[in-house]
Amino acid sequence: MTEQHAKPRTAEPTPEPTEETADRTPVQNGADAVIAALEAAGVETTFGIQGGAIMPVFDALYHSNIHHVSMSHEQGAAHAADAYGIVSGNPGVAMATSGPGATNLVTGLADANMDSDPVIALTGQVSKDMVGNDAFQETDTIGITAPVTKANYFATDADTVGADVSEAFALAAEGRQGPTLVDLPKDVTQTETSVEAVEPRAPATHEVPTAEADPSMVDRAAEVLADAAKPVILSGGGVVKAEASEELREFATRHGIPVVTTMPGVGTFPEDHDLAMEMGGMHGTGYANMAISHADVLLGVGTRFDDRLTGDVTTFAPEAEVVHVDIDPAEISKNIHADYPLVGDAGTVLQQLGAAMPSSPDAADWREQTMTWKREYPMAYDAPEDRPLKPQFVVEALDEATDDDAIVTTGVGQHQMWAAQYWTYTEPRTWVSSNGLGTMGYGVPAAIGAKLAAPDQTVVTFEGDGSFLMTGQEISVAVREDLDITVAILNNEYVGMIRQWQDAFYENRRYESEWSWAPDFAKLAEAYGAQGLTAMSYEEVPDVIEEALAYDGPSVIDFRIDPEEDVYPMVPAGGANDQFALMEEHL
Amino acid sequence: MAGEMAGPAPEERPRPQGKRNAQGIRIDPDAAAEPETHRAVISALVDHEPGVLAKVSGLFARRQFNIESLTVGPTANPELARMTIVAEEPTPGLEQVKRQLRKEVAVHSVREVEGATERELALIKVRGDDPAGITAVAEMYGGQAVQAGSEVVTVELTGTEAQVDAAIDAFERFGVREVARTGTAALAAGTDPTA
Repeated sequence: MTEQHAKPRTAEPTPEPTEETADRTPVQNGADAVIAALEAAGVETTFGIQGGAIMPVFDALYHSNIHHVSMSHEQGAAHAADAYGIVSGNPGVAMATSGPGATNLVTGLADANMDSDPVIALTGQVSKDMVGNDAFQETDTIGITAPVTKANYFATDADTVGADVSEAFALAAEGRQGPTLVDLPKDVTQTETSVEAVEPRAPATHEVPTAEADPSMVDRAAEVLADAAKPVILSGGGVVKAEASEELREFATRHGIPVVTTMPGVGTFPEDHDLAMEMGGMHGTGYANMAISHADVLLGVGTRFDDRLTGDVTTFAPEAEVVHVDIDPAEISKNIHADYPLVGDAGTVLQQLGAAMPSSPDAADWREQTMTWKREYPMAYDAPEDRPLKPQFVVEALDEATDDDAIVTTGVGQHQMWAAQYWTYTEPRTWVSSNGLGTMGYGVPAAIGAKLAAPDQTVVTFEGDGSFLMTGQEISVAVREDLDITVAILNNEYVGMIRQWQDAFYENRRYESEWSWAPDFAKLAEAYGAQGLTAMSYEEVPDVIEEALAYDGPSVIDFRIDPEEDVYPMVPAGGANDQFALMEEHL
Repeated sequence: MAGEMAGPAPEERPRPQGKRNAQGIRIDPDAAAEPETHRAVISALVDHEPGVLAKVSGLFARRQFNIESLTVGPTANPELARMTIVAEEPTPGLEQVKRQLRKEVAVHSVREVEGATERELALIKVRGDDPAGITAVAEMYGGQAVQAGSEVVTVELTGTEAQVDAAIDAFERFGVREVARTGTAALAAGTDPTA
């Protein structure tokens, strides 16, 4: 490109009104333009909280058919929008006012950014003539959120604010998905305009990869895969986002290649299949980590080779030639060198690879080896009668009591790992978790977003006692919105993962990880207007699960689990995957 | 102790033989080679708008890219500005710089320019005890004195980064009081577009 050939940023002419656009908000000011842009994008639900600078936009919502869900805290709004985005595939919308409203969104935006979840945030801002004066509830939202968004926009004009929202919406959904933000000064949303909304359209300025990967590289990668003796597929969150689970299953089963998933990739390959190695990495299965470590060809699809997956990169899949499929060129060779980089859409590239495979790899011995590892390192736990309830049992019991398409949301900590390990995931978009950022408290607001995105699916949340206390007040929103969700608190009265690390790496110094007192979670749930239940023993588990699932509304079950239970297997941070510990003595 | 699982202990397992370096590149297990860094000039056409420089410099800071200089200025197209970035990184790091830059919405195109025409402008304020000597050294480096007072002389010169470094060294004999440098601007040679 040259300076003269730059693509102009000018908007296309306003389309003539059609029947489809007839029930859109009539645009009289900037705030109407914002809401009309959301309507043009097909938005039906938004999450957020009122506030001074965003009031004009809420006033425009008053006239719209969009269902707005008022959350307890803006962090909850961001997580609810994030989960809505994961489950529906379309950007979830989070709205907040300026200042503290915007800063409270930041954790949720960072979470969405790490997991490439489609979210658009709309924040109020003080009027343009006040910006920079340290006005009431002013904060530099653009500056604060730039590192945690894919793109952000400061709206400067009522005539273009609708186009800003359309562009931000399109960007959140396009290519590698992620959060975007539009900052809306109050004078911009209050100023008169009649510029009608346009469909979401990403700017033509930056380079976006094509869906298809370079065909010559596809041929070379296919040849290497066909010649492999010990092939492994590593299926990541990009497979979920690209709707490529079908293509991945087809490719893996046709060519007999074992599949490891990353944590965001959970659900992309059915975990009850012989080829399923399940989740790899720090708390992945022993067989997944053995398969990765001994592979001679690794096909990574939609993964960024995060450190919780790779452990020490010098020991990661050390004998494997790496074929890396990703829509984001910046992920190629960022952490692990790609011998065969394939930049493109996961589903499209898997189809290309499938068509280019000269034959299936001769990997019967390798498959037998992976089955041997499955037998050698079973995901099993002891449940002795003289110990309290085991959390793994609770996860399995809830899995059995719900359909295959039930959605699991989680907080962050030990309970999250047990939920990943002991629930058998068979469908994409059923694992809704804070994978990359590790945000405690993600579970309850995520359940609200997930349930609104998929009202016909069962939604189960696993939380810890510590994690629940960070955002548990969002239960009040589930009650107000009459959402049928089940929250299972795996309560060990510890900040469990910290307690586990203190035992293993800090000579049992359990500093600030032991609760001297925790609330009665069942009573707390009832105070919010939800159903509250408690289970202390194995005998009570089926009954409380039945009661919770039968109840038409939110239920919270306080499972009093064995406080000393640890999460294994475990690859210590920066360790080698094949050296995973099966007990504390191995660390 | 709760949480124990069955299976062979770590030392009882077969171990793979290979090794990667810190950049995730497979290497000879006995080698300990790390890729060498090299200096690259990267040119980017960006929206000529407020905030773009902050976004790009923020990107470099948070990803710990080693940037030697960054200049920005308008182009022949009023909607675009050109950024010239001089970076010193191993090859995988330079690729990351370019790829991360391309993801910014305000960035239209990015190229590493090899064999480019590179220049920077320096203003060097030296003690004015020996005006004739200063003029002679300035001329030697293609510069000129642009302001002279009773105590100091300010010299202007342009050249490559290395030439400017050498000139500043040469002025040290008079006593350098202050230096202001623009950082490198660069254009690809001939009809080859820069970015």
